[in-house]
Amino acid sequence: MIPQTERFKELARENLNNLPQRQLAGQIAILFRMLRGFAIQSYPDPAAVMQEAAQIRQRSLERLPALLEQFEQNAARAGAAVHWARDGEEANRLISRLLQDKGIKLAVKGKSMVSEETGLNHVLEEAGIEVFEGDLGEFIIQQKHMTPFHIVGPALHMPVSEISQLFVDIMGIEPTDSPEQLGRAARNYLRQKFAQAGVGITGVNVAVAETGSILLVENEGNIRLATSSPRIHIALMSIEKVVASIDEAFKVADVLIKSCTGQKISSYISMITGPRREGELDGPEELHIVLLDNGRTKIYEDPELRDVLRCIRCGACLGVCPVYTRIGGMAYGWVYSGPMGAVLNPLLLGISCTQDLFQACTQCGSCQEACPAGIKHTQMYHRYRRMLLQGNSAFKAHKASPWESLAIKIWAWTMGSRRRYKWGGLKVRFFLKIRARNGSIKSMPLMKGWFEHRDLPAPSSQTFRQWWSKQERDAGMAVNCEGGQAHDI
Amino acid sequence: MTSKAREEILGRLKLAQPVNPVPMQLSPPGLGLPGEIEKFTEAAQQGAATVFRIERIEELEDILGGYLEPKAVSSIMVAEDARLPLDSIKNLAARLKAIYIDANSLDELSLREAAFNCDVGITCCDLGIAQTGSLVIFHRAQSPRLPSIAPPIHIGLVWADDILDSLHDLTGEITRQQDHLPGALTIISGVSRTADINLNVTLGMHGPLELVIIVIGGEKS
Repeated sequence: MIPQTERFKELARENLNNLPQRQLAGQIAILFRMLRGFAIQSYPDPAAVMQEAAQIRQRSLERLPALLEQFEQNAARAGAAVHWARDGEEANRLISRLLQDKGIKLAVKGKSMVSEETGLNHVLEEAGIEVFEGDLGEFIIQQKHMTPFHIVGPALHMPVSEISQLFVDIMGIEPTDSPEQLGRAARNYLRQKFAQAGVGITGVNVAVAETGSILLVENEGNIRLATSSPRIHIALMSIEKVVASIDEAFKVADVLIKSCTGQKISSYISMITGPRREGELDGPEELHIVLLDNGRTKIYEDPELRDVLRCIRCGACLGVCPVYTRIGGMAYGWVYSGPMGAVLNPLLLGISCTQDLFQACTQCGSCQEACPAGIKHTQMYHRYRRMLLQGNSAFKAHKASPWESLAIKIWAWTMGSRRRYKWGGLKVRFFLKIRARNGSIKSMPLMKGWFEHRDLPAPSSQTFRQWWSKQERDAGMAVNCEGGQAHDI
Repeated sequence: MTSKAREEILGRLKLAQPVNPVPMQLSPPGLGLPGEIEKFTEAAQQGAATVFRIERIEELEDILGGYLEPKAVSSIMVAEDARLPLDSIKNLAARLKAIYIDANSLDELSLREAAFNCDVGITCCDLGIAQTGSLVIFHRAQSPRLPSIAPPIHIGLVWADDILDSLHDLTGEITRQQDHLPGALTIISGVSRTADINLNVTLGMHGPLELVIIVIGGEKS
């Protein structure tokens, strides 16, 4: 998938103007929030479980290289072939070559965000391999060549009539407005593919170092079919997915399911340890696990950024984000959307070309409150902003323009002293008062972008400091604001 | 290429500055506690499964007959297992005029084709989970994977004594068996489903459209 993160503002505006879609994004958020709330509350001690999940993720990252080696060793012992890929291109090439060598022409896929990240489908298709996404939502957006609207429901934004027309074109069905009938049509169409495919390609939700197993959770059955029917199973796994033990893996999977769809448990959980064993009649003869870096080691090398790798892709942050719930997922222009995208995309794609994603954050902190992995999103955004100001070649943060740097330096200098702050505040108030019309300021020189989407209320008649002093004077008390906190401008 | 990539990735990770390890206190592993059948039944029904309870395995033919007769099934695939009353299932198939297929007698290609084309898959399950109404199958030589996922109706048999209380108890059980794990272990909780179109929950997506669970044994309260 070609990233379009630089078009964030344009795409966000498009989505904001699309009223039905905006309403839908809001409704989905309310629904997922509610379901997730019920599911999490079903734990006897929800806070303790969430804390435990976050600790498992943190501890797994601390031991990442050792766990990866242990996983590799145990997966190989179970009969899996373990491959390593430094970037998406290397992983795609490896998988494509493997399938070409075996003469495979048809692939079915379980939902895998990391394969979207690497753009695997496109590469396989170019190599003459037909690829079908098995997950219904993924199948729809694959056929429409779109980015996902939501990590859980990639095609939820699409009207039923549009999906019906798509299926009429692809499958030759009669038009229908029934989601059930459309689902059944996709089932019938894809069943032939599952029955005939030479390879099933999936992601990995959690990997277990002590056994070399992978865990996959789903509701539709596409992953079970993709890992039971074809003779080859390829699991593409980003390196941060590994945890130490079976117990830890199921704890993470359980929290993932509850945080993701708000279910008590998903319809299917598969724990796969190597290919089929001797005497088995089905299941893949070959299991290939591709361990993908694609920028993760670079993130890992920075202790402050490392926590981003805790993400388990549950999407809990999406439903609580005031930005995502208004603009939907497509505006983020890539695989990961919402706070998940705003925190991951800058490190995977580069800070400068994704800056609008995290600059759009309101810093309300709802995402980090919801995050079962304990990621501190707002701290990360501050760091990204700092990188933008100072420049960072590793994460492609092009240094801010001299004017912007100067403005920020002046701001920092002003904020560094109470006297300067007070003096600056008075000047700014004076200027704002001149610009104010009917209680608000609608534009300012050099700040067109800021005022494009909002107005600034006109300054009040007195500052907080003035108001406070008056209160204290009126109460006949001694006034001493020296050393006090500044709240006004 | 791969080994070079391996060296590079692991090398960079190992050189990265370690952070101070946080002390972690994991809750103790599951004890494999038994679960209540009533709780199991209720949870499975919430997952849109149809649950029958029988005292003895011999009652299976009647129960299955009652369920399958109105459905006009034309083929039944059975993952043959020593615990199943195979003769009575064969009788039932004959009565329903359905073809009886022993999954374990087929070669790989035939199994694949038959599983996608038959109407019913009957499998024994290794464990159950009461809190979530789940069936657990350790897929081994005599318990292939496709009969429980490819046919439109899956009939899963679980013995009351094998029902554990929670997912946590199952995790404990799997951990105890970790040196003998099967290639695939599946936890099935209800029928396959999707809400990918218009948030409309549709039961039966790629997996079975119907899940029938037969609980065998155990005292009825």
